[in-house]
Amino acid sequence: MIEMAPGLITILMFVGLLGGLFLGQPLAFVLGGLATIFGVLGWGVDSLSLFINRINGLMEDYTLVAIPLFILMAQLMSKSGVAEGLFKTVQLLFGPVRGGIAVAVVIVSTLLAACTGITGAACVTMGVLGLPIMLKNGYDKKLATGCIAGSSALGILIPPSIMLIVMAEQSGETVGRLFAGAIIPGLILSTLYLTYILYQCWRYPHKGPALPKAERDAVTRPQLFKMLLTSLVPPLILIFGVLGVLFLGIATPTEASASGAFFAFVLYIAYGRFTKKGFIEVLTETAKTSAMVLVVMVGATCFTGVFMGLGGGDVVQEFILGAGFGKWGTFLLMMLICFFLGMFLDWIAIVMITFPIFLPIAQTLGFDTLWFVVAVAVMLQDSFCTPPFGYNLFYLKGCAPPEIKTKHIYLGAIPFWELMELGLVIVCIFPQTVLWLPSILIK
Amino acid sequence: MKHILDIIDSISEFTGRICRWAVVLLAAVMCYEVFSRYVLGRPTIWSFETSIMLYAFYFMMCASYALLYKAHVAIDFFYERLTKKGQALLDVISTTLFFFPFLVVVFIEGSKFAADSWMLLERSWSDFAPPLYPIKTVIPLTALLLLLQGFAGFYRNIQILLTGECYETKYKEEPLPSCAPVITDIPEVNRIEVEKLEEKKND
Repeated sequence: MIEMAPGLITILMFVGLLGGLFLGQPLAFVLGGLATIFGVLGWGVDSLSLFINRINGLMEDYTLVAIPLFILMAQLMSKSGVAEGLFKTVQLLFGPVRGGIAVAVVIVSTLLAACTGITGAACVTMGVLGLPIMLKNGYDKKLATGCIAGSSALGILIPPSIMLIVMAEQSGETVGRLFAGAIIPGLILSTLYLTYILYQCWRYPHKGPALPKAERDAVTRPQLFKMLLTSLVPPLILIFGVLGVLFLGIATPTEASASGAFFAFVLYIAYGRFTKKGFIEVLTETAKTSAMVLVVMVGATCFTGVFMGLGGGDVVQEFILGAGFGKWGTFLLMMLICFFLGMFLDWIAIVMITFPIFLPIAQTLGFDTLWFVVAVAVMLQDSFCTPPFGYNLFYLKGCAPPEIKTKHIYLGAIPFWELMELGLVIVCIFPQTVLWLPSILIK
Repeated sequence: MKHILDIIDSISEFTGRICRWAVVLLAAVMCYEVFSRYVLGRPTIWSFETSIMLYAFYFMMCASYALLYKAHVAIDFFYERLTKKGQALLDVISTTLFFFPFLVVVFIEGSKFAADSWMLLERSWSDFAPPLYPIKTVIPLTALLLLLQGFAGFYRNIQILLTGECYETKYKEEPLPSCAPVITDIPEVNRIEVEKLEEKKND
């Protein structure tokens, strides 16, 4: 055992975290490895049974059972081809408008976000469906990639969302209240994106020309109406089914996730996409993604246990409160910390590491916990399209045609990132945007 | 040695192939509970704990499967830019520093934890009272599977460092969805025209 000052431990653990990540080791094991090293240095080998208690705690958590089920639902939805039908319809609907395809991307992403709780699938789907069409129609490359990267990040914010489930588990708020609280902020962001796209295309017509008349006339109005009905109604039933059941208190969020997965399975069959091979792929992807998310939580819970136990939490807390920035200055500082961590770390690790430190601070300063958690959620969803490590930018690069360079994707993401920050500012100025829906939906 | 690496890969692959079905069972159990509560009018006593155990079993047992396919989230921004040998060197360092110590600890402490539960033949306090020792055994078992898979990767990296090559795994990630959307609804006539155009381009 070595006596180390908590301040030194704090710095060493975070330097170790960055160093380990740049070695290319999976985040989960870097977190776990650091917990082991500093646990042995600080307390000795005998103390490490702490890990097992914390891991067992994760394994017994009923709230987290919803995570694999929501991932299964998302995988089934993306295999069912709902997105393709929706996109085709909405794109024709907004055909006459300049920037109509980009508008369709945002609307479909928002709807998909309300059907799924993750972002990767939506980003790849929109990248594969929307990007080639936009490029073919002469859209600005930056606008085309930016609107996909930005709007598909909504998946992690608009309920159902596995990020809000992890946040509920960490903060003691209920999943229902967090889901209800995140709806309006999510829609605000979506509206901001739409406004931005329409303004840009109105001001600079070459950025997003309207669909050629020949293409629009290929589909008659009654046909379009029928397309709208078949592609829009089933996802809407799913959305209102899952969220309605949850808000009315008919079923727990975990049960709602299972029913949602079941309904997505029915859709998958009803759209005629079911194949044995496809279903096995769904199961494989679900297994990999679920294990990935929850194993990061395993590593992070061990890391946090050692970090807090050795006094690192107190150091950070004293640093933040002692900086003397006042109520909103401190809030800004916490958001900045989330932002910088978001450039390197996964949101799962950020939530698990920062929540035990930030929530007591927020309560001391008199912030409403529900509001604070949703504000952090808005902040963290932007880490998906923050260069250089935003996941959506990687997903998009992975599925984009070769003429799209990394430069286009990075530059394209920036305006949408700014809109996200604007959304956060709106949420801060008008806390009712978060608090109003839970107050009327959750009795 | 190639034989041993193949066996390790196959163990991860087959645990994954079996355990990935647990999520279907999990969804079925929860849907049955909702059905039973509202349609049959009687909630079950077993579904709550069964679903938690299925979930824990599922994500823990799939961890080594995810490791085999390198699905665990990592930053490969710099890593990607290195040569094969450079990557192998970083892997050897970081696995020795982080991966092995952590999982050895989880394995040893988890074994003690599970052993205590087996000694008592521990059961839950609820009415359903399921035995708890099987699910607690999953912790050391997961650590063991991860250690095996981690060892296979470690050995391959040492091979690369020494000889520049290694025994490749049979199980590889399928390529990402390609950028070209699959166009299925082009009428036959147009399709021929498109093909002609493409041929012209190639000439």
